[in-house]
Amino acid sequence: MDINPYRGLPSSQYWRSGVTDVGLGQFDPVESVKFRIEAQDNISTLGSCFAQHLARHIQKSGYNYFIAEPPTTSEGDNPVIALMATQFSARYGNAYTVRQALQLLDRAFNGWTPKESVWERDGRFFDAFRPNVYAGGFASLDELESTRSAHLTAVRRVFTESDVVVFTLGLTEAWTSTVDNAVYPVAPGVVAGSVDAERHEFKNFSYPEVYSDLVAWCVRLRELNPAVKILLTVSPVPLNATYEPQNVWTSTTYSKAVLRAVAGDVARSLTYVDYFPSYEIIMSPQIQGRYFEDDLREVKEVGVRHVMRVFSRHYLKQDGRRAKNGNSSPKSTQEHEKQLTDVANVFCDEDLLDQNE
Amino acid sequence: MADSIELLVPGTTVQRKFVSNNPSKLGAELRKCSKSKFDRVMIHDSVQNIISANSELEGILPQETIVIPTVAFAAFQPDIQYVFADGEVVKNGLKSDWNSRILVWSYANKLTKAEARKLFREDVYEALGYFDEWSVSEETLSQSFTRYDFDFRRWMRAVQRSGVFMYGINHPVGISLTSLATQIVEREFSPKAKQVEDIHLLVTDYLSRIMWPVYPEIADELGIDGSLRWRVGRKYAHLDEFIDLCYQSWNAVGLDESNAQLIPLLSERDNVELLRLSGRG
Repeated sequence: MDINPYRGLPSSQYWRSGVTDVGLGQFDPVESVKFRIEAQDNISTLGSCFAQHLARHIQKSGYNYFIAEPPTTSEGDNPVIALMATQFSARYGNAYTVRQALQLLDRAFNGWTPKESVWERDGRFFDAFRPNVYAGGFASLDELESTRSAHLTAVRRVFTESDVVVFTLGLTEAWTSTVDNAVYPVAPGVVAGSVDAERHEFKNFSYPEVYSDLVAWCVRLRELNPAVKILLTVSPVPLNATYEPQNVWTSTTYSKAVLRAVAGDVARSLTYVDYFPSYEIIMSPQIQGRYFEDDLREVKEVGVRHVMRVFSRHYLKQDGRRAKNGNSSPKSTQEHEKQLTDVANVFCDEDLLDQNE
Repeated sequence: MADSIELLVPGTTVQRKFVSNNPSKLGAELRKCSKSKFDRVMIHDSVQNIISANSELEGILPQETIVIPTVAFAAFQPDIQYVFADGEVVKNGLKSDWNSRILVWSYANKLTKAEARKLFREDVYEALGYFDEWSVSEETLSQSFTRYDFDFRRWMRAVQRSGVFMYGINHPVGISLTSLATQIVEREFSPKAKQVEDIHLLVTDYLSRIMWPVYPEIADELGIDGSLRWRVGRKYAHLDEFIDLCYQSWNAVGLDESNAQLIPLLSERDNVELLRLSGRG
């Protein structure tokens, strides 16, 4: 007898039942999770800008979002500072590439100080590893250094005191130092400083490099914090610009394909690492790009909420929201059906609709 | 639907007839649709339901009458409620026939407009089962398609791509009608039928004159953008204004619990839930 290995699989494994025929907003690609997040767990985030949405949601949901670098007394109630201080668990700004995140560990725990760490613009000083975090930079080098020192202390707390770290992988393209391979979040000259072919070079990380970096990052984090669990996601936000001589969408698909494949492979190989498919939700063919703003890049709030609904359902232990497939209805199916049939049998409004024929 | 069929079957003229849901009037209206006057007669299953429930209406229409599903789908606008008083439909504040179940209940229970406004929120929708309408609507409509030998899944795939495919609980958007029309002509007029690309953009969308919003919390669940803005013709109203207009309108007609007939009925459990959630229980 012939045996078809694809017969009898769960419905989500077939395209038609897993994607095509799924109701609007009901797409949920999570089948199982490696861990659940407890209410008392310290949850921290880092990565690309999409991770900021996760941070915001976790804070709103009443879970214990770990902020190791809150606004200080001297910073007062400045809303800009407050926003900047809570976008990630420490004020590292966007860590777009895995190598950048790995070097953050080096800088925080191994005392590594890259040669070019400060950029200047109009007499102000910028931390080259987070030039966007303090808009306008610092008035003096001393101020920059003391702030950075406090920041790296906070980074150490993030990685040693978190129960769960959510890392959103954003890009493979970066600008690096030719002197010591330090990776910058933005190209020199964009926010401050100036690009110099002698000192800087463009780098597009390959699959083997990203894989190796991510495994190293996870292993080292686990060494620092043996109980930590890591949740990987891939940002669906496309590149704003590419330095590769090709269309930015071609670069985006390369970048996301590498990151997605690496995240899946690392989660498959390390027991304490899980992959959450937020990328798949936003990019789902069923959604047809509706979750992107008019610029086709920024993710709309409705898309973020879909992602977070699925995230909460599967990872937050005390998710108060409705269960998957909406089977918590207070009404019976028969009651709903009867109501719908009653309405279908009402003939109204046709006179109004006909007025302007 | 008629426009679509005329486009898809060149040379065909489709006459539209509005019929009553009052069985005593319906008989005479159906007799005007005899085989001698028309090549084909097509009715919605909602009309067929009335015929089936009234034996005196059986046999009036030609045997080969085509029955098509009535497209009713509540998942986008589950709050829509019909209200009748003394046999007449009670209009909402914008003078259309759909009313808000939450608002009608609030009015009947003498809630102030501000109190009524506060009931437009997620836990109220959840208590009323508004978040669970998708699968039920899908199942109910699927049964109707199957009963009359149409392909529900094919229809659903076509319309779901457009996002919100209903203007209200029983008013489909253009593509919902043209997709059904396509199936009708393929089956009933196949030798003459032709394909018309983007037909939903060509036919006049009469139903677009009345739009019920998809409330933001419900829209969220469906992965679409929501709003609290109503449209009837050239009149528009945001929730606060809509409440105001509805209360004015119902005051004017003297709507009260004793003369109001609701379709669908408000269950006792819904009533208890609304009392609790409004702080009246």
